Amino acid sequence: MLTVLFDGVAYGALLFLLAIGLSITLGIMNFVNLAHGAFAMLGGYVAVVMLNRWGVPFPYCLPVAFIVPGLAGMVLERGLYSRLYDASPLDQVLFTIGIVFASIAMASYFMGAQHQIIQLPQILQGQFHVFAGFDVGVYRLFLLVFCGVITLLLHLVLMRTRFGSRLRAAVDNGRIARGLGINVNRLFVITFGVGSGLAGLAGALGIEILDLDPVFPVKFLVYFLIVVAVGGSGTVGGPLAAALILGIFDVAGKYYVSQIGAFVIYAVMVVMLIWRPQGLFGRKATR
Amino acid sequence: MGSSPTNAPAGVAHRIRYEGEAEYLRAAASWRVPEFVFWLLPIAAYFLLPRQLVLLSRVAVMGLFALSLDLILGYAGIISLGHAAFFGLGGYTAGLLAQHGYGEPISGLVISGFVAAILGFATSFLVMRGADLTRLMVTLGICLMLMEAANKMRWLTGGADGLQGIAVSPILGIWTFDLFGRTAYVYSMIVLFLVFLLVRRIIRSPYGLALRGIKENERRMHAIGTPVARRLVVAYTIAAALAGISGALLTETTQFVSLDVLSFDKSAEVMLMVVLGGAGTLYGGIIGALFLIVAQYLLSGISPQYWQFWVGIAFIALVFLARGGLVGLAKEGVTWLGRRGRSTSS
Amino acid sequence: MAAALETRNLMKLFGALAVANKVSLTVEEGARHALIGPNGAGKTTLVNLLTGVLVPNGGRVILNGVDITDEPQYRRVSLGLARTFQVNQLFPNMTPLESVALSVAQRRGATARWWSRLAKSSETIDEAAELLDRLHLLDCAHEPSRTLPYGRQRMLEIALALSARPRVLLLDEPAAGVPEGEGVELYDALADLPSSVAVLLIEHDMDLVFRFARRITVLVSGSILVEGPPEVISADPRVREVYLGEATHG
Repeated sequence: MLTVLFDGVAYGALLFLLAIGLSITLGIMNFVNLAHGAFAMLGGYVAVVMLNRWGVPFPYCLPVAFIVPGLAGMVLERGLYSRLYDASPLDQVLFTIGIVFASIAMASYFMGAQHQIIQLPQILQGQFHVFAGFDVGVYRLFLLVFCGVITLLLHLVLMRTRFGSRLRAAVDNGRIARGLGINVNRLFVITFGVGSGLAGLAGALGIEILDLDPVFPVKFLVYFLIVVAVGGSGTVGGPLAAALILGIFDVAGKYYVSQIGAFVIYAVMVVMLIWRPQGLFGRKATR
Repeated sequence: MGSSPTNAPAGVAHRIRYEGEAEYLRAAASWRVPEFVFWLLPIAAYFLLPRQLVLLSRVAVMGLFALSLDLILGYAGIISLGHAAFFGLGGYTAGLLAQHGYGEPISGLVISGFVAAILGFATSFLVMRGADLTRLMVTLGICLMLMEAANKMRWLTGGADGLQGIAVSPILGIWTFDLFGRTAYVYSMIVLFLVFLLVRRIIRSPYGLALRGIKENERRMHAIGTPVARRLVVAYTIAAALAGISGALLTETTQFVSLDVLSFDKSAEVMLMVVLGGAGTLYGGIIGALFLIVAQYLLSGISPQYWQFWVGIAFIALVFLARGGLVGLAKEGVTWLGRRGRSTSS
Repeated sequence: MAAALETRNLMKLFGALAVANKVSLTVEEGARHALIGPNGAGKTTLVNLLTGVLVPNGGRVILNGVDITDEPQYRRVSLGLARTFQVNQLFPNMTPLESVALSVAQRRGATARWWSRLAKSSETIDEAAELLDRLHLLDCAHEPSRTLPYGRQRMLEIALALSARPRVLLLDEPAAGVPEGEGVELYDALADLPSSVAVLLIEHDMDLVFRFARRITVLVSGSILVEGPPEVISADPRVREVYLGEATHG
């Protein structure tokens, strides 16, 4: 049982890393980026190419999996996304769906439709047996620690740095933030880039756990949406809690009641909606 | 003066002082020449394109589906990522009815529409509960849930292979569904037209105006005393029913249904049709469906990835270039021609 | 004489800040009552509390003797409370006739009917046209609202509120942004309001306030500073102090 719990927490941590970029983007730009998963997918495929085709060791793939989607995000943000910040919700949805479809098509064309398989470094393979009923997978432990560190970093940046306070100001009130001389546009580019980069990093980390294939952006879209709708936007704690809950319930559901396991997350979604439509931490996922 | 009013006390005719304004609205709501022409086209197609009737039946079905989405998207302003849930539910309902011996088509449509309406009504409260993001999540989630259920319940739905052995009885006992799709075509076109008339009536009603008001300024609607949630629940339920009917229509005319009727791709496809044709224009959905299905047919040689890529680009291009869709472009074209005509004649 | 609108110790907190602090306000029947105060005093918040946009943390709101504190917005409108917004809340693509007809139809309970034809609802259209005529908006009745000049849009905003046939009308800075020349129509429209309707006017335009109001309430930082007839208020040194440094907008 503890194994399942542990796996769920690790899964949740990964989901958090995947979705946090979307949460922050929504929080400050008020933009629902349904294509967020595409950046995660990009990071995953970059890592696959580097690992499988070029034989680059795993630790070097991770930063690249962060940088490439991050850069792509920044370019797209300046080029296209920024024109739509004041557009209607429908326009934003249509635009991002378009990006999703285009990216799925490209992924399918260049990488094929199959699930990607990679060889993890020896040191991260296997599991160790803590006690009866509790096995800890090494890779999952690594994931947990890694994501934990990043979460802590995010929290520190958000709460303790000037950049972070500017970001929080922009979340609270963009107009006033601009009035205070905060360069909101630059903030947006950086944030979007970091958010996309984190998604890419998570995509690379989760290649095997999440089953990387071209329909990844659509498959996980509902997970992202649930994490952000339930956890709220613009904070770190809310989406973290939501992602962990989601991860635990999903893994546990699929393990214990495999027939209806997939429905557990939808049940979570409905329950949260009825109980706390404004999200877990009261901060509305506004839009 | 003094046309008989709608709610005057018995025996007292209300003297209409502003006949001009009423006349203006009546004229704006009446049938126009292009509309008559539009509805003659299907009749012409029956005789001029006898080998394309199967394709055109699909246009009618998807046009109906798009019309149902336009009601909530173009008029009420609700963005749904999972409208295929109702389409698929209607499709499977009709399929299961036919598979188990109940093949009467028209009542099959009604029952399927009713079942879809129930789901629509039940989920409408969740959909109304949140703001846009939550709505996207809920509508997507419901559709995914339904697809997951259909996939798991292979004993009922046939899973990825689809329902087998659907036998649809002749319409009104007279017209059998033939191999050339003639019966299917006439049937689906008539259903489309009847539903179109219904939606047209709804749009031109005070309720339809309220829906438009909700889309244009929800805050104002609250301030004039409208129970906004109630109005939206009704719209969502009606749209669900109509989507269910279109799904059932597909099953009946193709004698087959499988999982793709519940897919996200289907929801996105119908949204593209509505926006491509022009949301909120009543005809946009049908025109978008026609355009997209014909394009897909003409380009059927290209790989699915290529097609999907260009569909994605189409979504993006629509947002930046053609906000009003094809109908919007047509309207602009007419205005432009009108201006040119005036300048050349002066 | 029963009060048309009354609040008892109305409280609203945004975090630790009390934007409405035990506000007990009474608007008499047929009143011409103005609510003034410096920026940020909480005047619009109060209107939002009265109309149900905001839910209070304490206190009651009573309309024509009926406690409406727990009633949703739309119920309050049908009970006779209407408002205008400080920033125009119009239907941009609908014409003035359509907009007002919608409001009239709502009042008459017609908007639940999806089978009847709007164009055939002669009484509704007539009433809407008549109201537009009264406010001199009939000549632009068929233009999209967003194309109207600002002054006319402001009049349309008032028309929308009046179409609900309210017993209590809340006007949130109706003169805001209206250029000098177009203000006359506005003043006339306000003067023409039926005497049976109680009007609570929020304004910065002191000219308008002193011309229009028979009673003035001064709101500062969420609390009522002083209330009374215009002569008393204008002479009160505390009011002058509160407005010191605040240019009175003419």
